[in-house]
Amino acid sequence: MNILTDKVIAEDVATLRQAYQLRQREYEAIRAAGEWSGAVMHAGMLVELALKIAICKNMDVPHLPKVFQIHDLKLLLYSSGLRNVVMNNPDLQRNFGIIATRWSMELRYKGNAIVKQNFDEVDQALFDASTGLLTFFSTVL
Amino acid sequence: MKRVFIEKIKNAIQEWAKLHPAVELASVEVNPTGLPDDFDVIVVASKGFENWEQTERENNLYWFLRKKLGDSDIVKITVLLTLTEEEHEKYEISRTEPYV
Repeated sequence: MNILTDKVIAEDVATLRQAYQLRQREYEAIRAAGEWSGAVMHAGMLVELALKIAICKNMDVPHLPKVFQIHDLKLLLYSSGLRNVVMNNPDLQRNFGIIATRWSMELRYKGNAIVKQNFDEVDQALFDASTGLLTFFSTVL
Repeated sequence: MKRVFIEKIKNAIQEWAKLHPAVELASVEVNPTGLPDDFDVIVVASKGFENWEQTERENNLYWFLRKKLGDSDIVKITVLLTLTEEEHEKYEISRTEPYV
């Protein structure tokens, strides 16, 4: 491994986009199976991945710097170039707040902690056809 | 500087509550997120939120704060929650158990 690849992840943006599509199909399958905890876990990962793609786009680089291999959605949004757009739109701001408040990688260690009502709130915050956070990201990434 | 912003946001929320006489505030939390000029705001009311849909009251407060803080590009509110005491209790539980 050379010095450059020590500092960036091996996968390029195109691969991250493929991974996003795959994670989204997995999310849909988990949702269809009624596994609400797993679906929310995946939903947060989708936001994380979308923000990492946005960071690459914002920096105009093909590989994500390893310093961004983090799970802090607020810091990822801050670095993504999309912060002002999200914070200046009340629906996007609210929907970002829902996922930033309710999702954590700590969910990995939890059992079946999420009920359908909680899942529905997260699902709507991300995928609502007009105000969903990931709906919006898909138009700009 | 952060302390100034926190006071400014708290004062604005008190003003907002006065515009809605049915609302009795129980607490106002303004927490820095660790990012510059970026805050999480949690407003809890003992009365007045129970018959006001959460999305509507949050949008109402959002636009009030935007106007009051001068549509500022400086102050960012990442999380804005308006909760009844009952909702706040559930939220507190969900904070220690990430999302219950």
